[in-house]
Amino acid sequence: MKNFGLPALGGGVGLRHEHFEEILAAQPACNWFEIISDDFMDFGGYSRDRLMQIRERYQIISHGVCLAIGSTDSLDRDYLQRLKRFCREIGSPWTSDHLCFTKVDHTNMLDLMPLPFTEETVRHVVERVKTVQGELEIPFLLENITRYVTVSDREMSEAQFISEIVNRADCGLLLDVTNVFLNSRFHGYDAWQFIESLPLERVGQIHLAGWEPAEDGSVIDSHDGPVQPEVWELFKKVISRTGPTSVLVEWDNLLPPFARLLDEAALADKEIAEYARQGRG
Amino acid sequence: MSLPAVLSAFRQLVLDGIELPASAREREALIRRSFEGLSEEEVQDLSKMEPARLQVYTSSVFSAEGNILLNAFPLTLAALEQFWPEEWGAYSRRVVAQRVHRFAPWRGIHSTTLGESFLQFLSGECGQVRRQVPWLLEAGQLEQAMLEVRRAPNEGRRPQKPEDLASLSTASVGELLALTVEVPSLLRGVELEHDLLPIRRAVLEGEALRAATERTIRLLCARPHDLGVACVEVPQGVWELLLERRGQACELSELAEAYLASPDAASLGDDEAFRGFYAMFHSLVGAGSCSLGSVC
Repeated sequence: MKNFGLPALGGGVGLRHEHFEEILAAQPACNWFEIISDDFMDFGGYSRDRLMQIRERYQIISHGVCLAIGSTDSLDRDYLQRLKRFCREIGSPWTSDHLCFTKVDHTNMLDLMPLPFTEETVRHVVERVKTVQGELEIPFLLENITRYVTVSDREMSEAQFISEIVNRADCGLLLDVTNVFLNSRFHGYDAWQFIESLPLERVGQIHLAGWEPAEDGSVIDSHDGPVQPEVWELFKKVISRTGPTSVLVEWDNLLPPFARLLDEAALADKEIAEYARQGRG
Repeated sequence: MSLPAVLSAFRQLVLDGIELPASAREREALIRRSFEGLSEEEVQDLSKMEPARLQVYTSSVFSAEGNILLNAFPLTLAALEQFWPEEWGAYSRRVVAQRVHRFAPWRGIHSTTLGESFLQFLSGECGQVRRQVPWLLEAGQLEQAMLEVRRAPNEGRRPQKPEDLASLSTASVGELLALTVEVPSLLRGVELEHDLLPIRRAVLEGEALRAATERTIRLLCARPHDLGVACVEVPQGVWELLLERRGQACELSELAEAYLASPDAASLGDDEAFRGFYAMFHSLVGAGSCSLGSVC
């Protein structure tokens, strides 16, 4: 099975409210948009209105940040029901969230916090992913995160941790190539070896993002610039193994004009087309 | 192994301002005595984390929370910035968010629940600022009401435009008063002792913070046809009636009665009072505070 059985939509763009009016007025060609489901699903008003108009013309894919799949707080069943209704409403054929925790002790941490790579965590997350899949009734993908620290890798590596979870929970993988690249720099490992060791047949979607180094030369996963050449190179190798998929170019901060985002998505399409031209598609 | 204890310790290290020593050995000792329920291996694992790397999370979390607060509470933050107590160190949105977290941690996932924590911080921690800015808490309450309206789910049909009332121009007074008015559930009411809307507008336009005029104002905030947020000032009786009927309906005659009972309207003649009432109704519909229902 390729692409976790999901349709390969090609290059897509993150839908941000700054671009709503331009998209509705110009109706540019765009394969699909990804939205942060948590920014829309519980709210009405302007953003929801524009989303529903855009949804009439474009494929929308839901992606979440608040599920807190790794948290030891109880799983919020009400949240899952609202997410399920929302995915139906916008026609999202799958949804995803991050392999991390965003709250604990009933406190919102607002960021994607790394989990310890232990068997206990694997069992805990697998159980919760199964519940999520049962509630949502559409395919669910987990995304690998950028992490600045290692909480524990005594029992297994990060690649083993991710593989164990997606295999045992039988869920998909949203492979963030930029996150692998940045982590390989932060933690000193080979990015391609890391990717090769993952169950790539479970990759149903890919994220690519850019960053601008800080003045002191340090780097964080800032989503505020074009995708860097090293990440494009890694991406080419990834699709040579996964085949065509749905590729989101993330650009969330210091937003450029919408046309610039489409250019980035077109680069992903170009690489996928090149892969197909070589007779491997 | 105790995953809950590990995650809880990580949370405290990131959010609670625990200063980790540079030396791994000292970190280990501090973690061992600070957190309960960790195994020896977990203590060692956590002490391997570099403080500077953990700090990336701390900065990221509080910067993001500070930005949420700025978007939702521009007037309140402008006042806090101007009258920030010296003993709290240099002002920054990040430091505000950190202080809010210490006083009332953000429990929910929506910005409205962060707003609730912020209001608790304003009333519980900012006594010194409030002595210099007596309207600080009112500003917070006004902006929280506006945030709640902005984030509220949609309700049935789209809010009406004032032009939608054009068909009423030929109706008799009797026909008008028999109309039903629907009141949205998202309607929020705020009672102020200072005229804050003009100074909020000025702050949003980049002007310096001005002094606020003292007067009692009752505002209704709701979602107008353009799906933003609009606030209108109304007499006390109207304010109370519409807030009481949130998510329900009332007759226009009830609204008229509430309006006529206000001190301003009591001194007007019939024609003037009707014109005043109709103008208020027009602005209420325009602001989304109510909409025209069906004729009884």
